[in-house]
Amino acid sequence: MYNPVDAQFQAKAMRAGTAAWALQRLSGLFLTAYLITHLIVIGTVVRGEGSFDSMLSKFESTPFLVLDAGLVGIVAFHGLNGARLILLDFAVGLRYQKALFWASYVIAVGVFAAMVVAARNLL
Amino acid sequence: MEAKLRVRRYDPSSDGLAQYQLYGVEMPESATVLDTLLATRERLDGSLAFRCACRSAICGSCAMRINGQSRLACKTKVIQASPHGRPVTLEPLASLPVLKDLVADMGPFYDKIRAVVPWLAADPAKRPPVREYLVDAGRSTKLSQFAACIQCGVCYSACPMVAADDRYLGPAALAKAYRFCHDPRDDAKAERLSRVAREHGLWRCHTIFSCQEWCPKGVNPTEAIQNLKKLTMLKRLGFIRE
Ligand code: SF4
Ligand code: FES
Repeated sequence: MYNPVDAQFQAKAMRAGTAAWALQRLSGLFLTAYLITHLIVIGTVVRGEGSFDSMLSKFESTPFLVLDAGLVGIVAFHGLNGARLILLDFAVGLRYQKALFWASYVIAVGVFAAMVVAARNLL
Repeated sequence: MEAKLRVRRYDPSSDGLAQYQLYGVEMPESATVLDTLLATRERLDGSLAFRCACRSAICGSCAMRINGQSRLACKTKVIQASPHGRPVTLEPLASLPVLKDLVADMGPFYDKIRAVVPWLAADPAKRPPVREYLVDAGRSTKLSQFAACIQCGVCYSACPMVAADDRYLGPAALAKAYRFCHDPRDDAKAERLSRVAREHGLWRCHTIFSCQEWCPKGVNPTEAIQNLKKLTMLKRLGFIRE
């Protein structure tokens, strides 16, 4: 049957290329924020063992462990999609750009899930 | 069916503010957005300004934003854009100055195409061949995709990088540059590459692929841009000499 709804109009929100572009930037911002926090936390070591330990103990709760798992997932996405972008800049895999984006995304979500499981075993 | 349009009206001779105006006109189900605009102008409002010529996706003059998406009005049916009968929003192409209603000033777009030497530039010092210039079939098939561009400006309007940097050459101009750089009859590759391998040229593309998604003629400007990037990088790294 003739379906008057054009696929182009249906996929209104975002195409893979746009999503990849936006997520690459968002994950980059997140990683920058993480790096700054990380340096501040590690920096407390100069104030002695006590202050370093008390700072670290703050990060041992469940929400921070989930965030840690998220960090690994985000690193995975940023790295894999970054590799995709390098390939694309050498005109490799242009016809498969969507598949490559989805692969980066799915692997990153998988890595995140695996990390959550690993973190649960830690608790 | 009643085709409803919500058109962004802008009259440069008035106070300069744009307004949206609703129109409803009886059309057959097969009507395109352009058919509906023509009927609206004939029956309801002679002051409505838009461009068109061929009505068959060949001339590229009817490009506009339809429900926010850059498209050709003659290649989009009203029923496609609005399957549930809601008004179809029409706006001029993005990232270009508006002259009136749906008419954008294509000047900046054409200037950027002109900037990439968009013609075959044969070296006058070279002797022309005795018979015709031969282009092998593989190469000409590869180039035909880029030669199919009708310069409608859809890719230019759809590109977020053009929106962010008004000096960026844009997808159509860069696809044109690639088309001529890869033509074996051309001798101006170096000149063309030096014009496009710049901050506001190739390197502004962040492979978002909007141009390729929206081009009504199946051109893939991103592919052209990425191949030009590869060519430039291989040259700078010393892998190719020319
Ligand atoms: S590349 Fe496609 S969208 Fe861009 S100007 Fe040419 S025909 Fe239009
Ligand atoms: S009127 Fe010519 S492309 Fe639409």
